[in-house]
Amino acid sequence: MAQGKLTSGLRNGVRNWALRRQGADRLPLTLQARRVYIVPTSAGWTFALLILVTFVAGMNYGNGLAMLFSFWLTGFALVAMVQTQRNLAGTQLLDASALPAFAGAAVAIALSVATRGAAADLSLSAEDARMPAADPAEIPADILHLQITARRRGPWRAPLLRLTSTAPFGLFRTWTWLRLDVATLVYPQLAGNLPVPETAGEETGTGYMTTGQDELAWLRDFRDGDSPRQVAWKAYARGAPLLVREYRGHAAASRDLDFSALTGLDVEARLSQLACWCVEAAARGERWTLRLPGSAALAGAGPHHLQQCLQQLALHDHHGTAS
Amino acid sequence: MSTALPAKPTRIMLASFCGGALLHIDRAPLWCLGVALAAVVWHWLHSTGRLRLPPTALRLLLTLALFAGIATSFRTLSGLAAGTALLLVMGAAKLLETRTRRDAMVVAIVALVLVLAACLDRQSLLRLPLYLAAAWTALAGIAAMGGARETATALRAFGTAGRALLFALPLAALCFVLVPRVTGALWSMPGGQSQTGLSDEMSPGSISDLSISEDIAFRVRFEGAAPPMAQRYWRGPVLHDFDGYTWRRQQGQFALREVAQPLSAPLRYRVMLEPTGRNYLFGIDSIASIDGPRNFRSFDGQVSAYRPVTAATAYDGVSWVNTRYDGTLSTVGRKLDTRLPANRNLRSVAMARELRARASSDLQFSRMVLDYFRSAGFEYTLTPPLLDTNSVDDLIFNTRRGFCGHFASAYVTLMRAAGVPARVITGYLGGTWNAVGGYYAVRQSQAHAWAEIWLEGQGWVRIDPTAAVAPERLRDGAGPLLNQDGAIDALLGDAQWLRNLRDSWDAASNWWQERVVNFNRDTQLDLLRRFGLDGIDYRGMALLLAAGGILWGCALWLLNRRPPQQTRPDALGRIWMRFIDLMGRRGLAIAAHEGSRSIAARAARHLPAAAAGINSFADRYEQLRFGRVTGSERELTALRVQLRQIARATAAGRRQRTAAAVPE
Repeated sequence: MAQGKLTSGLRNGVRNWALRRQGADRLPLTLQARRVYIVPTSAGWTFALLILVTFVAGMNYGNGLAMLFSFWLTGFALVAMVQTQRNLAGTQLLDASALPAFAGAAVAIALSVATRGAAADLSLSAEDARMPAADPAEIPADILHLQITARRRGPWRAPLLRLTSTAPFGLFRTWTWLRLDVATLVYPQLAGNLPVPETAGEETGTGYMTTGQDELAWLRDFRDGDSPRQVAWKAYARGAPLLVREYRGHAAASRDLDFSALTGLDVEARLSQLACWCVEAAARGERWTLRLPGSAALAGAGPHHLQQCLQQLALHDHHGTAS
Repeated sequence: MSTALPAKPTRIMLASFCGGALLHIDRAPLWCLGVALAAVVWHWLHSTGRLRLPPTALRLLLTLALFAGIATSFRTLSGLAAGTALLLVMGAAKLLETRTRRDAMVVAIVALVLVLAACLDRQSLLRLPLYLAAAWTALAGIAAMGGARETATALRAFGTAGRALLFALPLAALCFVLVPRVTGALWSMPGGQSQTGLSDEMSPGSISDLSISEDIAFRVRFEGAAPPMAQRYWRGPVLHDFDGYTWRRQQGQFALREVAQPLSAPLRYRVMLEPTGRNYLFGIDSIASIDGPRNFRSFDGQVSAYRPVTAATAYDGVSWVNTRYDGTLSTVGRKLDTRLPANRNLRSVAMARELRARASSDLQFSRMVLDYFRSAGFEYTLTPPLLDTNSVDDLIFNTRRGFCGHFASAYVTLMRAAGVPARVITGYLGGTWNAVGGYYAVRQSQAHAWAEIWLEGQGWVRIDPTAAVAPERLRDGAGPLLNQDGAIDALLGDAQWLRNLRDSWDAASNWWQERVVNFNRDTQLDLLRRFGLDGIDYRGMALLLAAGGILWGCALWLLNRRPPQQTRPDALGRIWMRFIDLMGRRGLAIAAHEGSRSIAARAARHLPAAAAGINSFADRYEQLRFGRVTGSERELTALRVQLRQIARATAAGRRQRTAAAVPE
């Protein structure tokens, strides 16, 4: 136990020293060799022992072939070391982003890189919460993925990340620490099973709404019950799936989702319930108005509206502490 | 590294273990190889989903049983042979529990160790390509298992390993030449090596078919002119004890020695002896001294190394072709070399005594015996009949067919029967000239046995009874005694180019033995001298090595300087690139590495007419790119449609047209 503490203390010390050395990370950046570290893996140490034994045996028995092999494998290991190190050194980190997530689910971090070899040789891991990377088959060529469980609602900043590579032989492990300025929002947990409030009659639009009945907002996937008149047939004729045009100012019934109306629940549970309703309303293609104390009421429909509502829910009454 | 095993790398790993195991196919016990290959097959069936790996209990039991099997069959776990067998079966046991990359990496490393064990065992040039192939496969296995990539194909793994091996070769050559060699072993090679060539015993009567081996026994380079064929008697084990059937070496050391006076100039030569597993060192008769591995000369003129020759060994010999003994034979020596078993070969003994009585001297008696061999219808053959326990009687009065061992044995028996001190010498006769390599190759097929008798006033005199029976075999240069009708020469026939080919190959393997396998302090200094580095010391070598190493490191660094690049964008990436292009045409400057979100935000501000479309396009793109949504063709088409919408909306705004902004 004491030893574990000692090694973890040592590890933290080394890491903090390295972080002080490398300074802040501002994308895009090129990884300099001075911040790329490399050590042999356990297989690498075994390989070294193998070389040593071959060398000593060759020397002892005057066996030139064994000597030759030991030198050759030494060269091989050095080549492997350089190749492994250069998986990271000189690699360019272009862009990083994180998608918002609901609390309890995972925030997906994506880091786009330009490498000497293949980005598939690199792997991203978080120092604290080690999450398995996404299934490699689905990853686009130059994007590294990591999923980190979002624990609390509110603004979210990426933890300290580690970019690692053992390719091409697994004899060495090279890594660098990344302190990326990647932020996103963690929405309230999707929870609550209260019935959705009834529609509140005709809605005439609020400050958010722009005028004009026929202004095209965007295209969304066709759902059962959509009017055929709204389908974008021209796009369909060009090979697109059935898409439906959505218009702003579209007259429809609107639901009133009010924080104050949810009595008997604590704040987080209320926010969770509201988030749930927002998501459901958006899925049904309805209009809704979100009312939170201390914020302007948001009325509208569609994914963009949903995103704004969720942002407001995420930031509600938040005092700026990161998760 | 601890993820489950993908199929293709698994196959490379299995191939590397197979390769390592097969290198030991003629040395390791067959059951070990069987176990190793069975494990490979088992794991292969497992990887194709047709068989499960054994449960833990069975595996443990199996491992223990294999361990016990090795321990009982070798009676030890140390030493190269036992160690190799242990590696084989333990690698097999590991295969049966290999489920992760880490396990598979262990198997690939075991395969590499098997290659190195084979290098310690045998080093012939013929095996070098096998070693290279097996080592390459093992390193490809390491590449397949060690890299993070799941999709490593065999081609890629072999390519990666091969490239690294090529990069490493110059450093290996540099180190090989410049790393100082120490002389003398820290510990001795464990025994148990197989033995080839001449042995401590000779029982001509027990051999009915002397199979001819064309293996090289040793190679010789003479300083100056080589002695003629008839003088190239290579002295090996001297046999004294005879029980009527088998000749044996005299065990134990004798202090007595007959001092020979040289009658000719010393003959100097260098011998490259192939491993024999025995202590004999061969030299032209009679050997004055041998400079090489630590050795001693016994009382009968035979030179033995202190340790068995288990690896190819080079030494320098000095010999006198003609000698004279001044002293007299000691009583002990005379007793030793006139001793015959009682009640054996009685007819021969009687005949010898009768002949001796008619002869005036020992020398004349010897001539009479040789005349007898020449005239009594003896026949030289490699397929003699078997002899009974009175082997000499059987040969002389019955079969009359045999090879050199038979005639040497019979001659010495007859001499001893008449009280003339005599002994059997075994060794080699002749040697074939290899013009390519500039040396004489002495083959196992040139093994020979002859005799020495003590003549007062002359000392030990060499007599070759075989020459009396088959004189042509001494005259003929190639294949003098045994292989006159040998299969190889018959095959080669008159085809000169075939002979040249054989000579070239032999010269190459000699060069390999001499210059690479046996590279020691002397050859190292010799080589450096040829590069003009005369009298270089350790410090100079270290400096050269460091300089060369730094040069190599710089070259390696430069060769790996390919600039980083993004791979070709996928379909989704191409749609995004088109969006970036569109924004560029609409007058929005976009930095090379700007993030998608900030581009979208600026684009929406820059083109307010299409702000909503741009926002939803960017949202959708991000969902596809960074989210866990797989970009199906359907989704991509929707994105393309959206992009076209944005293009039209913004184009309409610029051209001040109102129509056709919205699709029907």
